[in-house]
Amino acid sequence: MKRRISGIVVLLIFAQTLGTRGFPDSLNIGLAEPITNLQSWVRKNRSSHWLFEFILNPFISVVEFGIELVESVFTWLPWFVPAIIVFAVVARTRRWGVASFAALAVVYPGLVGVWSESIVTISLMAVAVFICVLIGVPLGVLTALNRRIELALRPILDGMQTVPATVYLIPIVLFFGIGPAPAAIATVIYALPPMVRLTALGIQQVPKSAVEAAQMFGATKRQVLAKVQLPLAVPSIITGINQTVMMALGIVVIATLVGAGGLGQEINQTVRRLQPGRGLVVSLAVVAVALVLDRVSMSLVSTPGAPRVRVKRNTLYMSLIGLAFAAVVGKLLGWVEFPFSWGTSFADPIDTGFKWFRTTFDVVTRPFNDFIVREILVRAQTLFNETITWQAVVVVASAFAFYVAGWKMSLFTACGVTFIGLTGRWLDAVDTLAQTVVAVIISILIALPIGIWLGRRPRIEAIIAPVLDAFQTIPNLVYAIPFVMIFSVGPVPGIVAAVVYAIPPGIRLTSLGIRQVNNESVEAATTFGATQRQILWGVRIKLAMPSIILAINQMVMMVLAMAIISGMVGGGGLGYRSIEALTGPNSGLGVEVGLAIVIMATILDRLLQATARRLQAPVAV
Amino acid sequence: MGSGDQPAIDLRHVWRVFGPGDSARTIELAKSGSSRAEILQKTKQTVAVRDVSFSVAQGETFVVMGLSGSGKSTLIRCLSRLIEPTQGEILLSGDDLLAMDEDQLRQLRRGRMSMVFQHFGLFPHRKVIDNIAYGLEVQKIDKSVRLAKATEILNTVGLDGWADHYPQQLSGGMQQRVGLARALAVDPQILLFDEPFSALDPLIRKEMQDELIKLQKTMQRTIVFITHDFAEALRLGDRIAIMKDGSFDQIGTPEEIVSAPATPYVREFVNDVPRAKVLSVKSVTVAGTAASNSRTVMSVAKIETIIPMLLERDEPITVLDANNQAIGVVNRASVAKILQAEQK
Repeated sequence: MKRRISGIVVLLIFAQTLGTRGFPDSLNIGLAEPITNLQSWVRKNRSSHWLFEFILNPFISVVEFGIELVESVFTWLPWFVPAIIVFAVVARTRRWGVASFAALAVVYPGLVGVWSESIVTISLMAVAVFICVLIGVPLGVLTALNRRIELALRPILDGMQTVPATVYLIPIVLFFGIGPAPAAIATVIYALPPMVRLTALGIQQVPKSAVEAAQMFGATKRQVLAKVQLPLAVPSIITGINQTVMMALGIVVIATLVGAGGLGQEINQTVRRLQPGRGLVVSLAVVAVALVLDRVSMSLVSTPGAPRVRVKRNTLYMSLIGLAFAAVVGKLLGWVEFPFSWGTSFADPIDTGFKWFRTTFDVVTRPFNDFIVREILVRAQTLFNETITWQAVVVVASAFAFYVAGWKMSLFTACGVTFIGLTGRWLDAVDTLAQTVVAVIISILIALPIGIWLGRRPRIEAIIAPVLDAFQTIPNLVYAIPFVMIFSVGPVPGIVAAVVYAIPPGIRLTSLGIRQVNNESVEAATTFGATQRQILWGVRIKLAMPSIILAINQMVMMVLAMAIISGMVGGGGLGYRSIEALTGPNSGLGVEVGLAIVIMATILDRLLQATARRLQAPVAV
Repeated sequence: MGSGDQPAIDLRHVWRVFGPGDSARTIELAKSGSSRAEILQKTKQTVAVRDVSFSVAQGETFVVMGLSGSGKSTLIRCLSRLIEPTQGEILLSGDDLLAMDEDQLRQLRRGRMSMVFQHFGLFPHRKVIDNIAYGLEVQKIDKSVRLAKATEILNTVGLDGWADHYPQQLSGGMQQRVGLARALAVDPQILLFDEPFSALDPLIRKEMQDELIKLQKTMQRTIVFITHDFAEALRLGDRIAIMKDGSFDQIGTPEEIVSAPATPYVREFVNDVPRAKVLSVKSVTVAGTAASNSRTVMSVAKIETIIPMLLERDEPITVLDANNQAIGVVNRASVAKILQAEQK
């Protein structure tokens, strides 16, 4: 061990004295060039090449037609029809309160005056989710039944979830142009993985004996699939649709960068106009949409035999006819849009509140802002670009990787870190890393103590948990809005927003870890006369350590996911570059940025997971 | 279809090897006498079923008893080809099971053979009645016909009134009744039971065993029954096979096994068995004549039936064979001797 450490130290000294400070531009491997060439080829041939004329453009037209169709139906319908339908569907499970709440959520966008924007967003989402189901379910079935396909698909699905959405958008803009249809396709790509995964999971979880029983009665493969495996996988498939919807809603804001319009556009504008109140109100419309879709899909599946309102067929037909009649009458009377709206006035107090906060707490926020920027971020920049050589960075990173996860990970880390430099994005990566580290440290300082405290108070947690979970459905740009107002534009609002965004799962995972500590261990410590403090530090936290590390890991990932948003509010780094690449569009830059973020995320993720494994208390065999 | 005088099921030298690699070589290794553990170490392959041969007559109940890991579950799956045997021959009334293509196999499963599963294998998304009718539905039989048939079977297994419930709303014992009904609905000649009652608690288990014995009296199917419970094997089996490490230690009637265990392994199970309940009077009959012929007993009766008689009066009892001819006597000494063997 000692010899290893001294070896690393020697290596480090070598690297530092002989290496180059920063990452020299001469080593750039010019990854961007072929891609930029491809981009100009696409531009030249967009209207003439067969690929566009006969495949991509017709495809776009179909998607566009679908979106317009849904949109026109919703625009035609009087506002109360969807509310009634949602209420009726959810009420079948006899949970009247939930049903009323869902119906209220349907009219909420109307109440705040974004009815038509919601229709635009919902139409796009509906088409995107429809395509996801169309592709995802068969793909999921295939992966579940065929091992080879599963092995081929898994890395692709994993990759799809780490690549930042802005990077997806670039090739889509390139090949499909800008508008609602390309935005829908981008959403499909982003939201597809859970659909495939959960379908496959559902099929695989079907009890083996049920499949064997079907086989034993001489069912054909198709009969087993259609009558046993698929029906039993339905709950999992619905969860998949649910997840897909949530993912799709998650990029509503980013999708506006390629012309999605709708609620995302509204939210985007509130950021520009610095109206956090209105931003919040509109975002709640997104949350409302999520809530409605969630409740409706959940009420469609239920365990067989659960209580349901039974409706006679005739009654059902009569009420459908009645509803159609009401729709026509409503239409004739001109009750299409929501009759009244509180609109902005409802949000004004919030805006005023933030303005007051900004001026009042200027004494605190300004020094905080300056401290983070000047003392930490700028210093980190100089440290990595002028003081430490890139070789030394590689040595330190891979030595740590070796320590926690062995030589394979060490090699991967060394290659990954070097590769980020080779793509020419060293500076941006350092910038993003510094912001990430700051945000993560602040998140840890807040989330872990709260989590540890909550872990021993299950009652309080039961109250707080749904609130924390709800936070995660709010589009992450919304988090940034208030902080852009409070702090000046720059990296700090992004960092603070990332902290707020990352804290809920951090708290949840930490408290879960504390709660799951074996009660007997605690009792044992108590009988030996340990004090409360000794039990907390020596037993609970020790045993919960793997969970805590996973909480930190989750927070790192969430902070990284926020990097793009941070770029949108002036945070710089890779996030800013990705937006620059998208609005260019500059595909070469996009690919560089995408690779850099994915590599960074992968390394951090694996290192933290390995750390958690190392800390795992040895389990008796 | 084969003729009636052939055994309903005939297994000849059936092997099943798990794990990647050359299974033929592994079988050679096993034939040369290597144990399961040695083979696993050498080839990374597991010999789950090892050279098993047996035949089951029409209408017979054949029980395979073994502990977990003995290969009994694999064996019954080879019998239904849910798992393909690696080597060997299986004849069902003379028809070669392993030569059947997928279509023939499907036909066989649709009509001639059914299975009852350990964890019931019910379809949680279907009502009880639709579970029972499943085998008929797969055969595309008319809905009204199959529901009528399913209802009839439902009543046979004593589940009247539960047709419209879902399986998970039923108790374990009732769920397995559904499993049994589902298997019976297709009217199969051969019934395979894969530890059907082991997930049930002891009282319910006994009740289900009685139910099965009662049903079998009237329906006379060919049954292969897997269990890890020796007492269950003794109660249900016309003949029993004791399985260990993939092969059979002994095949015989319950009485043969209890009175003459072939290996120390079998003896371990036998030791815990109340012999008086299993062995017949014949096994304790000694030569001699009784003073009076006032007390007689049939030679096939179980020993436990004569114990009260012997306690009442210490005099020999005359034993009669099926033709009512005296073949000897039993007395306190002869019974005590065999019962004492239990204490060893």
